[in-house]
Amino acid sequence: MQSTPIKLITASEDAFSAFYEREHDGQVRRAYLMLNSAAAAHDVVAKAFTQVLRRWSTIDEPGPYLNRCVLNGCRDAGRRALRETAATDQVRLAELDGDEPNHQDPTLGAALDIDLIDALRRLPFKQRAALVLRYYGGASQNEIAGSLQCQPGTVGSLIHRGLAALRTELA
Amino acid sequence: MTIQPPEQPSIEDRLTLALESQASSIKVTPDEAQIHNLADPMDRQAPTPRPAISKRVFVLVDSASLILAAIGFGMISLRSEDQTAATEAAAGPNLLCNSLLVDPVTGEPVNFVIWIDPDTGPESITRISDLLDNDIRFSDSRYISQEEVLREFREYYADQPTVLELVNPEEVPTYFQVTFRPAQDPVDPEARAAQIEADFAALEGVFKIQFPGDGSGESDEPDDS
Repeated sequence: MQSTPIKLITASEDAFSAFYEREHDGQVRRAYLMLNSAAAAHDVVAKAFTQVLRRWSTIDEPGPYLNRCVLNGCRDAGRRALRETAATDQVRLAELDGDEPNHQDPTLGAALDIDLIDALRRLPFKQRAALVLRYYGGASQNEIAGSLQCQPGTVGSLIHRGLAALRTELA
Repeated sequence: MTIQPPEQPSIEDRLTLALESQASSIKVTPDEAQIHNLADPMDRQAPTPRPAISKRVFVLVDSASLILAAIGFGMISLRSEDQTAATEAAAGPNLLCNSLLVDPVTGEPVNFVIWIDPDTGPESITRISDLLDNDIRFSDSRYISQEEVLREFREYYADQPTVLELVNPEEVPTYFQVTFRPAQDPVDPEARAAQIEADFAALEGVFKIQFPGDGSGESDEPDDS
């Protein structure tokens, strides 16, 4: 009688560990693209995994749920930073983290499209998220809609407007 | 022989390359210094000219949304026999959406809620979402879907089956939670609210726009007036 729940828990933990291994790095990179802060990205992803673990036994599709948790975390982290920097008119998140490799590193400068990354960072959250999901990882329209909790039709509009804004900024 | 100028890459290709380069520049395993800062990474470098709204307030805001939604459900369900449910549901949100959405320092709203008729079509919701996303006054808008509201409601009332029985899933109200972009200059909250009412209240699907302090009841706003 006692062995069954123990086995179940072990199997569940194994499954979560495998899920963590599979998803972690990609989620951190994606969060980093949204926040441009390594520390914040790690924080958001760690919290998101905690949320998933808490509901591990009840969610059917942990992947999409994790995506939503990470994006919600990015939105909240960005909103918090925005508030805190509002009075200084420095709403860019770029300089929040000085300890990571970014475009300050001259050896990376040639490879990184600084203007484009900066322009991306200035987009509204949903446009930025839609572009990151589409062009980093190649998520489908339905997947993006699920992650952003919006209608699939909105995704096309977000991407279209996001790209248009980038073209304008970079013209 | 003339040298052809290189073809300009499309913005899509450029974005793909830029994201790939940027993503590959992060260490996916946090080092020890970062781990020590995980508790509140943003607070570390951000200047603090203006005290931030505490995380607790936002937790309370979320809680308020749940309770508010719960009351909305109850009212809708109790009156679901007639076609006035949507209108009546507006009375539910009134009870709770009058607090917790203000900046405790300035006393000004940091966000507001646009309630959507439960039977609103996706086109109308998309239209409202597009308008909000493109509006420079707002830093963020989030559509709380029926599924999400219902899920949280069920969790919240998991130990109260009688409350859950009142809920008709088809009549669960949805809403947009909209966050103001921090203003550089002082704003007149009433004028701003009036303008938002004028801009959004008449849109198809919108039955109520709720600001902090709307309706009767207590407010979290500092009582310094």
